[in-house]
Amino acid sequence: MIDMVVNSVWLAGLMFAIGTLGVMIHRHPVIIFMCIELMLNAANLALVAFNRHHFSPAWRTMDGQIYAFLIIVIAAAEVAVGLAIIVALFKHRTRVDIDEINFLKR
Amino acid sequence: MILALQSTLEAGHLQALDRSLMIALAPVVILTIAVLVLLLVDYFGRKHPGPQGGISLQNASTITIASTVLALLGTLGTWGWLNTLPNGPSQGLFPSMIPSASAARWDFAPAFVVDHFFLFVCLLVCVVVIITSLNFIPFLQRKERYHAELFPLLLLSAIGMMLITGSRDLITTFMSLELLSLPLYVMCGLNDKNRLNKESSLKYFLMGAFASGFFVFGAALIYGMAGHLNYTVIQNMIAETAQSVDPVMLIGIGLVGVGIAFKLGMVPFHAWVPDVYQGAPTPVTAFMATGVKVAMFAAATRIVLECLPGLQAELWRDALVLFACLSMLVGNLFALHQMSAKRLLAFSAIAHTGYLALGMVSGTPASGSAVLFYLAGYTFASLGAFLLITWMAPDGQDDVFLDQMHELWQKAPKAAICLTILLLSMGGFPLTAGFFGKFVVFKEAWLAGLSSIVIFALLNSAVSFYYYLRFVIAMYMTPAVPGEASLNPRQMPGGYVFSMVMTVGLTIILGVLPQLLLGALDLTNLGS
Amino acid sequence: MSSLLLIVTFLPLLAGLALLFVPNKEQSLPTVRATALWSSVVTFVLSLFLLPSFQSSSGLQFAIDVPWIPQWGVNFHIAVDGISIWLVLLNTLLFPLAILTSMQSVRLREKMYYILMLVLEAAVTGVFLAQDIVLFYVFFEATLIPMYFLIGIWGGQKRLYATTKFVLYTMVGSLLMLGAIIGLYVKASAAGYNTFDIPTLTSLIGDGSLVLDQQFQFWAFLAFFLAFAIKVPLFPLHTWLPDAHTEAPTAGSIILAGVLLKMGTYGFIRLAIPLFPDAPFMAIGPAGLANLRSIIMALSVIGIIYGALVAAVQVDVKRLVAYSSVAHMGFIMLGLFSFNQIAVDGAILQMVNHGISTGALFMLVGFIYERRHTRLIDNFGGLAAVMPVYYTYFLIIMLSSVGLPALNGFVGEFMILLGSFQEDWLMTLIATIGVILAAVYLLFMFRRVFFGEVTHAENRNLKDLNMPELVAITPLAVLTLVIGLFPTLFFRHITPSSEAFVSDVLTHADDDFETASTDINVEDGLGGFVSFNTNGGDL
Repeated sequence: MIDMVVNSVWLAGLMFAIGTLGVMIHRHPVIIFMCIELMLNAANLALVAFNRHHFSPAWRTMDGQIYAFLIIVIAAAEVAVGLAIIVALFKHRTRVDIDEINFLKR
Repeated sequence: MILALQSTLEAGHLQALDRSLMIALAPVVILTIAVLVLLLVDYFGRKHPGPQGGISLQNASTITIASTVLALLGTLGTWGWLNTLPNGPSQGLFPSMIPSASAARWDFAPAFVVDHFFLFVCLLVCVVVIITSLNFIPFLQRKERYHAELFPLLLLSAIGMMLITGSRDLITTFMSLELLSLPLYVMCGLNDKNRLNKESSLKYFLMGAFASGFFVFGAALIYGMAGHLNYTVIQNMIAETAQSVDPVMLIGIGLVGVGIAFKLGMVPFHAWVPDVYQGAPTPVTAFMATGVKVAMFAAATRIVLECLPGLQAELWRDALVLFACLSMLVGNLFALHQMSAKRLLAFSAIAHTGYLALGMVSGTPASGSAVLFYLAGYTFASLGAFLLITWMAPDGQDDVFLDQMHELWQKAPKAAICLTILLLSMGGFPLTAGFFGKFVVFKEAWLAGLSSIVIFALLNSAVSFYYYLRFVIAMYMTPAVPGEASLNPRQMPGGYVFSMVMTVGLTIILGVLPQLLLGALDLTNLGS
Repeated sequence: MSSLLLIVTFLPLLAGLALLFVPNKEQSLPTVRATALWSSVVTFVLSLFLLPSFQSSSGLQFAIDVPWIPQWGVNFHIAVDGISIWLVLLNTLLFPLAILTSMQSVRLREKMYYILMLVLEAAVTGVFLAQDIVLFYVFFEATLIPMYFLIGIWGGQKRLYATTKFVLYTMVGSLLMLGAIIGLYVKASAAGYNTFDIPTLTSLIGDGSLVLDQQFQFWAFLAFFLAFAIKVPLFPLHTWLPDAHTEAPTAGSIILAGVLLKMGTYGFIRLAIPLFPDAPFMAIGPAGLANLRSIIMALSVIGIIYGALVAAVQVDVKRLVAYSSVAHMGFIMLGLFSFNQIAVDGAILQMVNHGISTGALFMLVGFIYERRHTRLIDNFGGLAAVMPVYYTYFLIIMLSSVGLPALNGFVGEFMILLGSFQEDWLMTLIATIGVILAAVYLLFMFRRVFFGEVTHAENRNLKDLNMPELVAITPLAVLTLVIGLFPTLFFRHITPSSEAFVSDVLTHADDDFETASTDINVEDGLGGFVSFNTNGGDL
């Protein structure tokens, strides 16, 4: 069981790294946003896996899973706000590239 | 609040759910009710579904300001009520229920605490909301469109700011963090016709979400090591393994720190600050620069003082000191030659993050109250300055450039004097709140043995005078060139005058009689 | 009687605040000028009342001591002793004269100008009276902003450059001093003394109840030293001074040279040396060859010679006077740091003398600038015949600055040289060359301006001094004679206070000498670059 937890956490770490890297590499806001979602889901996976590790039958602790649910809710809220902002930008321009969004630096 | 209830419920402490909880959370409860009222009035006020109709700017702002004043009074009431509690004023409301390290499990360790630290931040946030709302009214009257959801968003963000200060559990902290951030992303893009607004909004959103990712993954790792996200549990866990803290735990703490540093705009995670501050509508910038900074620093200080004291590894302290120094240096150097007032203040905000981080990292018993004093001084100065920028900005431009300010002293002497006082306070000139703010923070840092860093910070604030004085040179000492676009300030509306008197008055009062606040702040010391 | 100090300090401030409420109109200008002039005159008259009841032997007097920030032990403590009383009087005297001079010359935004002058007067008085470190710091900084505006708004062509340089130089020094103040407070409160009170701290440190480690003393002294040495200004920190003087309006120059520079030397007497009495005697350098005191004396002497040489090649009279200031302040620093009773007495008197004679020189330069709008020496010549009264006054003041016997400059410089000769004959000898050089450049300038043919047609019809100008310059000219002929009037109050200062320092110097063998190695920060030992040096 420990192996499973460890593997899951490694996987979560990998997801997190991919997500972080993706945010830094990609230029399209939607893809960047998906990478951020990947980071959040990495955390969810780690939380659920760790919950498995910390589970004790006597106390029936489900903290990690509850945390994961809370984070999913927050992520959903972020999607709502984020997509709205990106769509608002799309209204202005057909192509959305983060490098072209630099009115402030002009 | 819901989380506080939830974790209390989990713990089986139903008796805590009596009226005392409502009293303790008075500011949060009042503002929550106000949000609901605003939304309901707006909904039922519409004849047809759609963007037309709804609550008027006048009504919405009145409800917002009235409820925030009420919340302010409620906070003051709670402040007094807390002193009458049997476990003494220094304890706060809930910590007595925290089990000791020897207790078998951590499940019932509460996620939220109501203490004077929390209440003081509530007071500051209330002041920020009131002045920002007053700032919004004329600003929105000048724009052709007004969005009814603005004031509920403002209040929701304020609730997040309050909750994050009292939270003693990383997941509550995260929820509050999102509660304070999400409305702000929307508020930045307030004007959907303005490209700068939208750019600012997108950048702020992406950076904020990125920071959340770090925070949450760090929290997950900490959960894995400690088994819970409560600060007390984390602190005990660190204390038990003082000499050899698990590296995964350290990585977790580091990632949470990165998340917070992003939100604070600390170098090297500061890249978004100037763009977002400059691009957002100025009242929103004012709210962001003060409210978010207050709340995030309060939360970070609580984490440092309540989670990390047992952490032997000097690494995190050194790293924070390094980031603090870099923040001061980068902020001050980049501010030197900015022409946009908002961008300049954004870089100065980065520098102030450095000074504040220095106070936070010192970790002495009184460092919490020192940070709060600095925050109070910074908040008033910054609010006032952004307020003046909102007012001065010419039509069709939501910013002021320094070369537009020439001879402002002739055109609007009172505003020029007010701005001078506020900027001197930011620089830390005696007889303003900023001086004693720097004084307390640097005193704590010196006590913690960071004397050479204090000298570095002082030299930095000498540099900062250069760019604060550029405003003064522009306003008083440079003659306007004929034909040059210069400001023609409007009549100052009553709300602005009130806010100006408030911010400048408080800046001077705290600079002349700091003991008025010091006495109260003695109660806000954190840690054991 | 003790409320007198409070009135002297805050009367100008209150008058300035009252002026804020005068409408900003043409017809209210006479009210503004009258308020400014008369409030400063009344302040001077009131400050004169300090003299009759001053007890020269009883140290700090007329004290007011009320808690200000009780949590940190900060008090509002003001008092006057035999040293500060003369500086306060100098200050309250120079301000009405400067304001009187301004009425002839300032025509731009007059209301704000007089408000700033009055605020500046209050702040400078506060610096000389403050007996609490935080209070001192607050007043010390508060002098900065009015002066910044005075130069920046009413100054000459390059005023923005000059005023920014002035503020930034001063700011760097005083913020470093703030660091040292914080450090001192942390040390003192760790030892159980939660106070910023200067007399208390000085006596605690003097009698050994509060021991500050050598390394801290060294660095803290260095921070205070920088703050005050920039203000003085000591070579090589003087570069802001010629710019500030050249660009400042006449009254600004009078005040800057007359009293603001004295805040630096006064700070050494009041704070830097008494709080860190061991620091000047700490040997630094690889073999412990030099100590801070001899370095400071050497810098003072370099300043004397350098200031004189640079003054000699100036083409602008005002810039010449500014560089002569660098040289004269070097004499004062030399006298102070020789820690010899006679020299210290002389240095304190010279602080007053320099305020009078250099203030008067700037005033005279301002008079001619009003008439000709130029200050270049080449543009003048033969003025003695055109403006005989002006010529006479210029002669008296110039000779006082040169150090002619029977005028005030002689007394101060002679005592400084006499005293410091006993401590370090070589440096004194070099400094004496500075006296000769001063005579050279001042007399040379004087000859070119006043004697010979009138070379420029514009100079033929110059009007001589008018009534307000005479009223402004006469008191200063009279004072140069009074001090020159009856210096004992002044030493009666100065000596008891300066004796306390000197004996305090010398006790520490002797202690240091006895424990000359204890070397203190500095571990962090300095590496092997500097090693301390408490060798007493020459004493």
